[in-house]
Amino acid sequence: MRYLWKEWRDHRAVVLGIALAIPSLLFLARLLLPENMVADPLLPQVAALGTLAIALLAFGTDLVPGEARRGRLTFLARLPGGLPAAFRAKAVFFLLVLAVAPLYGFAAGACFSGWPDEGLGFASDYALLLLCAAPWIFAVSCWLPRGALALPATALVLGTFAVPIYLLHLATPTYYPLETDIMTGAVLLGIGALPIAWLSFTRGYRHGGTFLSAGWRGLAASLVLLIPAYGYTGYRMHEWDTVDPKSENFRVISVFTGDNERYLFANAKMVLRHGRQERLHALIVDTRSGTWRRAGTVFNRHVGIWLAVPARVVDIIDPGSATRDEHDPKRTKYWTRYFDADTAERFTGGWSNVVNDKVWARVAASRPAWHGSGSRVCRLGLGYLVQGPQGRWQIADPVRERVYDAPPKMGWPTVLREGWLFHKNKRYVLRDPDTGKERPLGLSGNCCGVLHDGRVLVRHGKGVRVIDLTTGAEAAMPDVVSASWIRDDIYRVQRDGASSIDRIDPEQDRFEVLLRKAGRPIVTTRSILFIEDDRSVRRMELATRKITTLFP
Amino acid sequence: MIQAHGIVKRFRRKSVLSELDLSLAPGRVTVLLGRNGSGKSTLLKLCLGLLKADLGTLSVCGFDPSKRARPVRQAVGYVPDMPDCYRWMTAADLFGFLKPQYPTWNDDEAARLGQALEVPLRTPFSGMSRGEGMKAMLVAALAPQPELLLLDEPFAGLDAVAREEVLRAVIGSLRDGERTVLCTTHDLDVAARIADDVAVLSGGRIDAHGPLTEVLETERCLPERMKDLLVGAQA
Repeated sequence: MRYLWKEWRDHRAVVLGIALAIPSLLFLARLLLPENMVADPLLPQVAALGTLAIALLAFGTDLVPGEARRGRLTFLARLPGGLPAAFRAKAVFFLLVLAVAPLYGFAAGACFSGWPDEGLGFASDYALLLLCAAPWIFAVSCWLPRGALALPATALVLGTFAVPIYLLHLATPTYYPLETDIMTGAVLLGIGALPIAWLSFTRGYRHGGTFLSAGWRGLAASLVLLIPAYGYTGYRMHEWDTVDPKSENFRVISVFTGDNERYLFANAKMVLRHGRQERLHALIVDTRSGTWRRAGTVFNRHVGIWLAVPARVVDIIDPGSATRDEHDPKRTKYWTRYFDADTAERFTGGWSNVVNDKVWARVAASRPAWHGSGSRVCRLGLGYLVQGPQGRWQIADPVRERVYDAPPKMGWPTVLREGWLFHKNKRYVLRDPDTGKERPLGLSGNCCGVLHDGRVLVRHGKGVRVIDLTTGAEAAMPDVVSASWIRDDIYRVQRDGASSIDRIDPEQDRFEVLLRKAGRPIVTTRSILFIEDDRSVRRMELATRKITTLFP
Repeated sequence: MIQAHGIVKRFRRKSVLSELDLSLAPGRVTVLLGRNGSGKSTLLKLCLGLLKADLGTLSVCGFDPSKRARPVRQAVGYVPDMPDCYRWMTAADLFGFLKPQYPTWNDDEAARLGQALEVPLRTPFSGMSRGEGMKAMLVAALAPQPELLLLDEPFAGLDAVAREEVLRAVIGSLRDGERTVLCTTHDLDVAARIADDVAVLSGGRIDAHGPLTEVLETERCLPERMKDLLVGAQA
């Protein structure tokens, strides 16, 4: 306590000076500044931060250099308590000042503008960072002959210490630390500065040591302290950039494949920090060898399998290519790059997705892609919806072997042999795309699929019916609540709350269950690929219904 | 009380103490003589643990001061060549600050000495004369009733009256042979009045050590002028 009293006596003039200066400054601000600025609820928070910063500069930079400047270190060193007792008092005094200063500044500010509802508000975050930096300023000041140098020197030292971590981040640009990581690191580093300051002061200045001996001891101790920080950061970066399909933290999100099923284009993620952090990875799996590789870096993902084939095709067959997006965190741009689904090689040639059309887009490597490069395609019954040049939507109709501009404000039709099926005023109409003539069908509900024989599946109420638009014949599908088309004769079917993947039997007009639990299925000509329990990609051969695991 | 063997102390490349051997028996008052820069103050700081010897062994009151500084400092009273405490401190502040650190601190002794030496208790050191400051430092060094008293040229820069007062206080504190004193001084008159033994520090080592009269008989290295002065003072 006597040492603490000594610190108080040594610095009470400065403490009292600050205590008087803060309200005086606020009073002057009230006189000189517009009232709305002084009455701003941010004023107490700004005052709290300002007072903390002033206290930090006044005491953090001078507690030790001031002692050396006044030549009192020898006096302290020759007493039985020695330098350790003096250090303890300085550290406690400094921490007390840091604790009291923001509260005092806040209270002073509140006297002028009223007590803000949010309390310390934004100031608490900055105050915490300042408080974490404060022990470093105190520690670095032990290494210097002049306290005025402490602030730039601390910035230099912390900046130098941060270089390896920065370089690690450069090597892993997608990494983002959790806020708790940052705060934990800052608090630990702040606390860690206190033993460094202790070592610098008590060991550096004993036996006649100078600020130089304090400095090299402090720097050496800092490096020792930082080695675990560097190690931990390196470990986190390595963990961040690592994919381990056998890990408990591995999850499969979605998967795509070409018709030959040679390669899987899987989006997967590693769940870290008990689910608080996730990394996405785009993987390409060779289904023959079981080997896999990453496509791009963390957060790249496969967007989908696109209905397109290389240039000058005569018909649209699906699928032709898989794609993935690359996200550049620096420029926040998206690049679309393409892979040939059959070879898993980068696809940079031209292609078309319209019958007998010329090449619309040529996508070069690393070139930012323009959405609507002529390759966005989706099925519309027997036809396709494509986005052509300049983003113009078109409907490719294989029945009529023509490409039509999509009719405006009519929604997307279902292309049938009889014409295009539109939903109009809650009723379906059949439109001839060549003449524009429309025929009301008296049919309500939602069209959810087209069979090979041209009949349509319509969901109405709580049931699904098969309707022949030519003859008007209808057949109800027993037990089926809803159905959504996936591909060919494969549907996702809902029955009394249970979902399954079914194949429709057009002869019997009924669904046949193929898979009861099938997450995000991909249907090819031969099989259904599905994700089981978010952990593995499995395949069911349609012919034999044999299920095998493809990955991992 | 002090056992030093083969003490070597360098400051950068400059060797200050070289193979120094010194042994102080309890209860003896030893005056350490030597030229400026001969290492007298360095030796005292080594004894107090303020410096660490590069080589050699040193024992003060049974402890190595570089490793066990606290018991050494609690057993040793030290008076620097000028007041080294905070200038805002008063003598009362200084005594209050030091008291908890010395288990053997004696308030009565502090009061008695303060009164005897007319130390102004309520005046900050910044307002004291050099003599008053040195008397306060002497009281602070003697109040814990130390076994060993280290005086680092305490009489330097004092006027004749102040020097006499401090000298009387030192002589009065010797407690009839109970306290060991090691005093460095240039003041040969002082040396002649208080010294049981004289140690001559020259070339980084103790060149002669023994009772004053013996050293005067045998001393060859001491400049003749100093010898004459010592003899004159003794007479």
